[in-house]
Amino acid sequence: MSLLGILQAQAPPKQDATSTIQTLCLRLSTSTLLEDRRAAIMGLRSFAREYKETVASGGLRGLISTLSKDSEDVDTIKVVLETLLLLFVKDESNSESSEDIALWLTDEFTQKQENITVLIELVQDSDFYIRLYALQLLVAILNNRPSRTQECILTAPLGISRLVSALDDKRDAIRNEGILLIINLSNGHTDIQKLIAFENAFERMFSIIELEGGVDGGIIVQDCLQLLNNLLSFNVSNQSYFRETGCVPRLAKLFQFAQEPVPSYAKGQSDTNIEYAMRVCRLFVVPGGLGAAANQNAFFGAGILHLMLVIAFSGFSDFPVRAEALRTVADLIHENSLLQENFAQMKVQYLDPTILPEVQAQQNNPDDLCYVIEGLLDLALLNSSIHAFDARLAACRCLESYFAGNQPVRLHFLNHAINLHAQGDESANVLTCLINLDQDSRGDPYRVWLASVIFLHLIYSDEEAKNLATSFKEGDADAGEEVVTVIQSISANLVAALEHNYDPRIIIGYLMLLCTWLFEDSPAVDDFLNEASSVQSLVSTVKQSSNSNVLIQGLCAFFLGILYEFSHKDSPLPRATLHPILASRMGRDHYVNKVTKLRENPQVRDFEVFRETNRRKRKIGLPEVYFDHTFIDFLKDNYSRVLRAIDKDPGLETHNTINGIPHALNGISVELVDSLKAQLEDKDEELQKLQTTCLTLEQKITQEQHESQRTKEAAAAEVQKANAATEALRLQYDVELRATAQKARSEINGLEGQIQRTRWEASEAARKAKEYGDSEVAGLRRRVAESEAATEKEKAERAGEVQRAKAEGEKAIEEVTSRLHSAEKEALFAHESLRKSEEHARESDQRLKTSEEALKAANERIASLEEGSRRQKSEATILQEALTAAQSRLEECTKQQAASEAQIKDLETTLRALEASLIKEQSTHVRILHEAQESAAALEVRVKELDARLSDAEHARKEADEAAKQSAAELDDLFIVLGDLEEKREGDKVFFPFAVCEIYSG
Amino acid sequence: MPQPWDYIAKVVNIGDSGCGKSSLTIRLCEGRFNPTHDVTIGVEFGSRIIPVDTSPTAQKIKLQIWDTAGQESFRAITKSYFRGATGALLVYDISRRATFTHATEWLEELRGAADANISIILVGNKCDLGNDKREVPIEEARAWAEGNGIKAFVETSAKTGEGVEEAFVDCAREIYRNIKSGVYDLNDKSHGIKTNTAKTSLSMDEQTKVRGGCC
Repeated sequence: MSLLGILQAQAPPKQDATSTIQTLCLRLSTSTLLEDRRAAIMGLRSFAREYKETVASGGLRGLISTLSKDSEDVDTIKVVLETLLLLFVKDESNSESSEDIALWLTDEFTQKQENITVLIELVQDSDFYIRLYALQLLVAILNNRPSRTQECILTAPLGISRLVSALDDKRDAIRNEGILLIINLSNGHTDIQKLIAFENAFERMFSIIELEGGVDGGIIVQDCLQLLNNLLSFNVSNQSYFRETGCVPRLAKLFQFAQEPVPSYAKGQSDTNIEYAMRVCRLFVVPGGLGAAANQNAFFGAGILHLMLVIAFSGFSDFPVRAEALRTVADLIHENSLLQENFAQMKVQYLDPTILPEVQAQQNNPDDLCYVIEGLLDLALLNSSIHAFDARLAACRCLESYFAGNQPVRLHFLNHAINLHAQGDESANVLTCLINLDQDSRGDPYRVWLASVIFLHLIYSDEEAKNLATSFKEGDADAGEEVVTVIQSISANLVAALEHNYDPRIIIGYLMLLCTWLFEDSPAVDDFLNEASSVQSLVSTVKQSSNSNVLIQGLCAFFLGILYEFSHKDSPLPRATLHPILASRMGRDHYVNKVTKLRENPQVRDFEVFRETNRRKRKIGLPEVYFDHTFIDFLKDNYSRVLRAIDKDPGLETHNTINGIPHALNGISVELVDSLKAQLEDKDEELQKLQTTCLTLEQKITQEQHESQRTKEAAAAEVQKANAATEALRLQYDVELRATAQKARSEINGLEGQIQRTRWEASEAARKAKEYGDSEVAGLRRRVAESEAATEKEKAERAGEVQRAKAEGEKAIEEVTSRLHSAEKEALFAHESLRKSEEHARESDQRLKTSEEALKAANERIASLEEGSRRQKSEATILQEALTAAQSRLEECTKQQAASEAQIKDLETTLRALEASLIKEQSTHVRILHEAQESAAALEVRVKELDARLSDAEHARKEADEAAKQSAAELDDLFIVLGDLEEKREGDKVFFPFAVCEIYSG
Repeated sequence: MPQPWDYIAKVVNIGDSGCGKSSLTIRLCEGRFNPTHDVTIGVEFGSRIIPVDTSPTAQKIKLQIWDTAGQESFRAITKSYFRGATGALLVYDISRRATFTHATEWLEELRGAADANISIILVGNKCDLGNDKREVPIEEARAWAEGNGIKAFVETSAKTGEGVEEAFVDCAREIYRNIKSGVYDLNDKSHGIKTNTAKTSLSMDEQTKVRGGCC
């Protein structure tokens, strides 16, 4: 028992941690004073490291709600964030810590949108720690529930833009945390990637990278490049945004660093950064990608291709960097013929492949240049350093991309290789490496392997290239040398490699090349089968039971399958001979077993999956790389076909091409073909015979044709005659018709003239009558007015005189009172006579009225006359209509004539029909003529009708005249009346002075 | 002062929404019943130390109870808590037959995500409701449990507290039996079992700090 134990025993009972935490949590959630809450939180923070579970279960909600409740209090917020971060930290040594707590914490945040929003708002805070902790919390949350958190941040108002703005913070810690956060945030979410990109992220990243000093800038630059990687991978929209906003030159700028030794302490990070930057480049030019071609051109324009080559062929670059640079180059020129041609013209620094890299750096000489293709071949074929393998493979990929989709380039390259080989040139040469399996090659098995792969890409699925390669022969027959083809050399090397158990990579390399070469190429198969011992060697390899390599046995079997599939009965080793060797000596089941084993081998089966990782996982010794990806595709595509090949009957040939032209016989028995050939010859003879009879027959036919021609001509003449007759008839008829029509038309014209004249005369008469009436009426009116005025004047005069008489009478009364009565009587008399004269005036007024009525009647007459003339006009239009009807008849006639012409054409078909129809035609003509005459007659009737109408019109005119006369008579009456009136007036005048005299006398 | 437990075991409560999973947890951890409990959002958790037998020196197991949301919308979240569970309470509502039939799906999901040796207890909750509202007979549930390889079945009432303690004690004991019979590899975290190796108490420093924080 230690002293501590004794002390502990004496000490007062200790507080239980759990209950303390519970108390603190209670205080946090119930305290109203900020200070109390802050104290509780600080207490919780002390427990958070040790008692994660208890603190989390009791206090988490309170802590989170404090974030929004006490957001103004920087100190409290800071402590809360610290506590939360502590809860997130996983602590292996603490038994209370578990991943579930962190997960639970995450869910508390992500299940409630407002909690994330609060955190995002805290990122805006100016306080260093609050900003930093909030970012760290978001990173932790994102790590635990990535997709859910991404959605929350996306939903939060201005979420993305607020977080991206952390990148502008001048404080490095915050900026770097911001980069980490955005790396996590952008991972695998296309929409967020776009939003981040539109927050000017590319610009910001490049600014930070430049600030940090480019690729020499340490891990922050790596993070920036990682972020670019996240934003651009498989995001075509962001890629084009990047390209269009001029970021490609800025990316290119990263590769413009001086080629000089980098201090060893910085080398690792610098190389990583360069590789990351290259990976960003490669994202744009993924083979087959949507915008790949546009990106390739943009990158080439920015000089990236050139910069890559400089890095790839710099003595200061390490092999991993060189490999990545070459892979980038491969993607940059893949299937882009323009860039492929440009590429071939480029020059790079010459590096002696036989010198160690360390020495290369010392001998760095940028002025010693060679063509890039030579450089690549040197690297791929002659550099035997084990560290160089990745770079060699990448160089091989570069060449593959250079060939891809460009046949002229392939043929050129192949021709060049053949020429150099024939000349015995010492430079790196694919063909030489394949043919010369010397000591060096055996020491570096990848030399043959890479040469095989490059050659495979040269001839793969390219008939022309295959033919060119097959036709090349070596050896001078005149000098007694054996003439051998490339296939024969290779098969000899293969047999040697199999017998002496060379490195499997050499054997696999040769076999890959032969499989793709001989596939669907029977001449090449024949070439191989010239040496029967090669087949024996292959068969014995497949049969070997001890010390066997599954890949080699499987490939040998696969190759034998191809040999059999494309051999034929005329092959040096005929199908019929080859089949028992395979099916019996090797064994059909054995064959199937080996090919299946090959297919099932992880190296083949999972090739695509482990392609990248395999290379990195290698331990000591040679890399575990056996296959080329094109060959694996080829194998998988054709696996089942080759597997089934062995079950085919030797009599059945599959596919046979000679110089690229399919030679029929697709799956057809050869014997059948032979019998068919014999039949064909018989048929040919028969055909000959038939052709001679055919000739004589043809001669007869021509004679017949002549005769028929003659009769035809005679018939044609007759037809012509008949035609002429018809024509004459038609002409005659035409003339008649025209004459009739002319006559009718002139008659109609005459009639129209008459109608016009009559109408004019009638209207003229009416007009005159009306004018005359009008003037008379006006005169009458004037006279009436005059007479009225005269009457009025007389009245006034009379009134004046009466008054005077009265005055005189009164005077006479005054003077002579005795004569009063008689004077009164006289006055009465005068009055009476006055009344009489007034009656006269009234009478004259009445007369005037009657004369006006008479005038009205005259006007009415005139109107009726005008109506009559209008009726005449309408009749005239009816007549015109009749005329047009006649004209339409005429047109009908011409139409019928056209029909007759058509019939004439019909007549020409046969002679007999012609005559019959001729008669018919004539009769039709007669009928038509008759009809025309009839229509002429009808016209004449019309004309008569018109005459009648004309007489009617004249009659109407007479009536109008009479009416005019009548109105004139009435006028005369009026005059008489007027005369009476004047007489009366005269009478009145005579009478009045007499009355005055009477008064005077009275 | 040693930690008051010898083992920590992770237990998950699963079952349809509204079966009373949260009420069971609250009843066990806090000894109360809330008749108007809100629907669980995501996951809640609580813990309770349970002695494995009645003797005063009995070893104690701390049950870390993860109370999951039953609603379908939280399924994606709750599922990630199944991993590493040592025990599970598969809860259904005896007055709603559908919750019992869904137990099959829950069991499938649990077995798909959790460790193979997980101790599962079938719990029929709301047994206080009486026989007239009962839709799932005891016998049927027991038979189903046996048929699906579930070792224990109990009916509980979070409202009255009946059977609740029993359910969790059953669970703890089975886990303890498994620990003792060496079913779990205690070094392997995937079982969700942790042994109390750190038998240290709070140091004096930390205590002072705590006090300072409290007052």
